[in-house]
Amino acid sequence: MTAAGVTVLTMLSSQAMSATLEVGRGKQYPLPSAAAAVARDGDRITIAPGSYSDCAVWKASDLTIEGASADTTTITGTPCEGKALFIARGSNITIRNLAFTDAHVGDFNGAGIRAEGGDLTVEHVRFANDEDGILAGTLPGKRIFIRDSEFIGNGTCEGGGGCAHGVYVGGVSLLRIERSRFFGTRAGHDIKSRAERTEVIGCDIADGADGTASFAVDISNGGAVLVRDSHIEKGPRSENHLAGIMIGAEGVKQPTPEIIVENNTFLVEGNYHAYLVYNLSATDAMLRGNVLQGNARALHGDGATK
Amino acid sequence: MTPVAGLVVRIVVAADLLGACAGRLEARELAVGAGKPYAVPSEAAAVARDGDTVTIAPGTYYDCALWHASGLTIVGTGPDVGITDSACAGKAAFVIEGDNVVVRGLSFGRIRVMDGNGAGIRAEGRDLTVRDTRFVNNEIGILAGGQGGTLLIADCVFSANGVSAEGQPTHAVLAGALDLLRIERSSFQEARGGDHIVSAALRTELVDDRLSDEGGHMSGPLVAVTGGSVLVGHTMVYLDPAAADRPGAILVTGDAGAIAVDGNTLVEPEGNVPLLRNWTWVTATETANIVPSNASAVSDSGALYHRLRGGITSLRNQIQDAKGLARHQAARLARELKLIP
Repeated sequence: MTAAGVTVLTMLSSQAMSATLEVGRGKQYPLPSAAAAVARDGDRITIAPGSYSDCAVWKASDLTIEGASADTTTITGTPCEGKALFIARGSNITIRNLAFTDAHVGDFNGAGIRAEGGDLTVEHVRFANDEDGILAGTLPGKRIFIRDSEFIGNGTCEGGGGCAHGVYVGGVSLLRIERSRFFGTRAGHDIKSRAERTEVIGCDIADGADGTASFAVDISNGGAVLVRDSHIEKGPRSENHLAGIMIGAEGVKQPTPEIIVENNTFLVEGNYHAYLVYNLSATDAMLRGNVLQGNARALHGDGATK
Repeated sequence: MTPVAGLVVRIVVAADLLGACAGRLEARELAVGAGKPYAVPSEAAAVARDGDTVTIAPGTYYDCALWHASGLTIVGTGPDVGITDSACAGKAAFVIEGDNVVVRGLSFGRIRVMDGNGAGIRAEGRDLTVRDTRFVNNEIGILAGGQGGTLLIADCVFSANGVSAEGQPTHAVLAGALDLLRIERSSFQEARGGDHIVSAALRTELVDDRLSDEGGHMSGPLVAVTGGSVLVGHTMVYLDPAAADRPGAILVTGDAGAIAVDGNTLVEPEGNVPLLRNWTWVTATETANIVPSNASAVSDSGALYHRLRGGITSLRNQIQDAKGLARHQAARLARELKLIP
């Protein structure tokens, strides 16, 4: 057989092998980790309702991993590799309709999902009482999409190795968070991003009465920023009063082509003043159509408010 | 190893140790840039030793560096060597702690820090020379504290510095109590509110410079010198008509040693702002300056008022101090006499 013939056969067989793996009591795989061990590129993994004390490392690419809903399908327990309940190591993985709760590890950065491969999409997922909800390191050129998800009571600054956050993303090309809710984040930031571009669209980010979040959005090293149609609320127990959106607090280490903050509401409920945008980059922040409530102020640093 | 070879090794090692002890490690060249031994300046700064030369290849570096070693030469190897956006220690793109450092052929831009005094270069050692370097759109171009020594700035361009978020104007060059601040063949333009140059050096020299407030939004003088000796020579000053109420293009206050104003040209389309306003006790010498017919090279009008006001402020402060001291001593006496607990 020719080499080309082998290649064609291999491609055909790999397509044919693309399968749906069912996870749940009485199903093919009792736990997500059992499915993860055999999953191949392109597989779809469905997880039946239930609470799974498990963690899984997803090494294959082009996976879709979905539960029944965030209310009925929960992953909890001891994180894998001291990292996360799900480690997304393949490229182009979609995770939806699940809840990840109580991820705790020795060095206080246990995540619901840790992204280590390529693009990651998270939809209709709830992260509750984890150290990090979603954590991604430096993944050059990769994108992370988060939609219609909830981050409740995540975050910690225990352990002295830095803080954990609702979403903590290192050097990726794009972090886009849409229609998602952050509530009661503890000590860390709701969203901390070192991405080349960070977009927060249609989100609801609030400390509530007891949340102690630092910033709602921390753009630690610069990069493009778009925050639109969102509600940001700093509560009385916020642990950093400076700002809702902080840009460049750890030094601007990359180009910051634009900063657009528009059509948001910003409410400061504590007995302090805070800026919607605290801009430590030299790129003009463009603020348009934002509504400031309570002790909110608009802008510190370069830029203009309309 | 033969005994002889061992002896040779020991001698060589001893010689090396001697060299190290005497600080005679050979000065090296540390190359910075894409594909070079050090990708960014901070990597070279971390290993630089006294006397090293650091060469930085053209490129844009989102980086900042703390230079501890002395006797360094830090030089750009082509056009467009840009250090941008990032400040170290909340201070500057380059924080230069070593003595006797030369910086040449670089460009510093877009530096911002939390407390509004982010600089292209913060000089913390003695005797810094900055040549052929551009400072654009920083809160401060070069900031030198009160460490003495000389800050020499030659053939540099300062543009659109003096940005400050809190409405506190900052400057292109801000020098504390140095022995000498000398700025030569350098250009200052488009300041954003604060004076271009503020100096409290024992001696301030501006020679062959070009100062302008075009395109900026300056209100006060272009140069403010607080005490020390002053030489302004062969410098071109362009004043925008919009700021005709400033006391002078250059304002000198405090305890001056000597003030010499020599061979300068003042251009102002309107107004009668003097080239130098002298609010000190000394008389300035002026020679061969070219100024508009309705302006003067040097004016000391307002000096008496300024000095009186300064004197009154000082007297008031002394009285306050004396009152505080008296109250403190009375309380101590009362406590010793057990009149109060």
